[in-house]
Amino acid sequence: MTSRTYKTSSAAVKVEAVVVTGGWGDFLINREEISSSIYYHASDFSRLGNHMFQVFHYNGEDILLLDFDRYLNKYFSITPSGKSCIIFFFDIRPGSPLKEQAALFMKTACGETALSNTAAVKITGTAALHHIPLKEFHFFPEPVRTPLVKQGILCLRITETAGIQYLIDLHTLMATQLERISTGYGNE
Amino acid sequence: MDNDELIAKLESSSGEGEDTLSVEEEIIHKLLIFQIDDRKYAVYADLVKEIVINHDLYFIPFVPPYITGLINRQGQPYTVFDLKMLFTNERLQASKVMIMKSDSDFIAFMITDVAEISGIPSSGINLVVSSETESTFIGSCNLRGEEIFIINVQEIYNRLANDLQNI
Repeated sequence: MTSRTYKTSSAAVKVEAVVVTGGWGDFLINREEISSSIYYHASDFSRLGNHMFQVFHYNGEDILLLDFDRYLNKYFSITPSGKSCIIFFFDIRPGSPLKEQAALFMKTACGETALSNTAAVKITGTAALHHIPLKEFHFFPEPVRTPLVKQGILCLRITETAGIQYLIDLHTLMATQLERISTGYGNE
Repeated sequence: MDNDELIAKLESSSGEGEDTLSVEEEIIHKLLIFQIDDRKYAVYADLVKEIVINHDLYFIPFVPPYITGLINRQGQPYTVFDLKMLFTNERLQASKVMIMKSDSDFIAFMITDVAEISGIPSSGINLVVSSETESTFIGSCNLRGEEIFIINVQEIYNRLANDLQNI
């Protein structure tokens, strides 16, 4: 009689994710999406307008910026507050619907035709890099999964301490919001 | 009565006995009766996995108002419905959640309380045939003079799927 032993992989697949925390809950962003980030004092942005999307002048470029605080307020009824905020910069993927939507917005907002290939997201809160085992991520149950994925909310992680964390796709999230604006829902 | 007649009568009477027995063995449906505020509803008890109390509910956007959020059960998120919002457009204030048993549709219902588990014979269930309400309710039963509607869990799930297509 022979016996067989099957080895299981000891190295669990992990996702390098940025956990953004603001006292209002946590959001996760895949580290691979982000090219750089900068902390600011929240008061530095007090002069920004009241719109979800802004044109942010940085390093000699006009960059499309999503004010995630306004997104949270609109869709999660959360009003983030705090002394520090962080801006994540990311490269717009070639072929992404965001490229077209961003070009349309920038042209309308400031007549900008030479579009930067960089976009940005501003969030009030702090960020930390975590290596999260893939098995800790869960899909939303159907049928709510499909519309959330369409909005750029890909999946979730539930922790004992922090509660629920949403993994967001910045490209999809921004593109769908810009599409709402271009179809008449307004940049509120 | 000769033996042939005796056997014939015995055969015919045993047939009657079987009919009688089948009537006596009418299927009894076990219903879980629960309350949404003071109003009672029912679901087939074998569809219910568990009742949880004071559990964290997590908000999710881009869903109809009758979805109150997600609940976590052993790492599996369940979509929680507010049936009061679905039926009357008013939000239910409750701390109990009824988790439904399914391998694929992870849904749960906010409830005020569990009233009882009751065995109702098939003949005691009036199946709904009108087009207006047949989606939401399978039928109703009369329990001590009170008419209780039986929730059609699958149709409520289907309604959400349909509503989400329009969001």
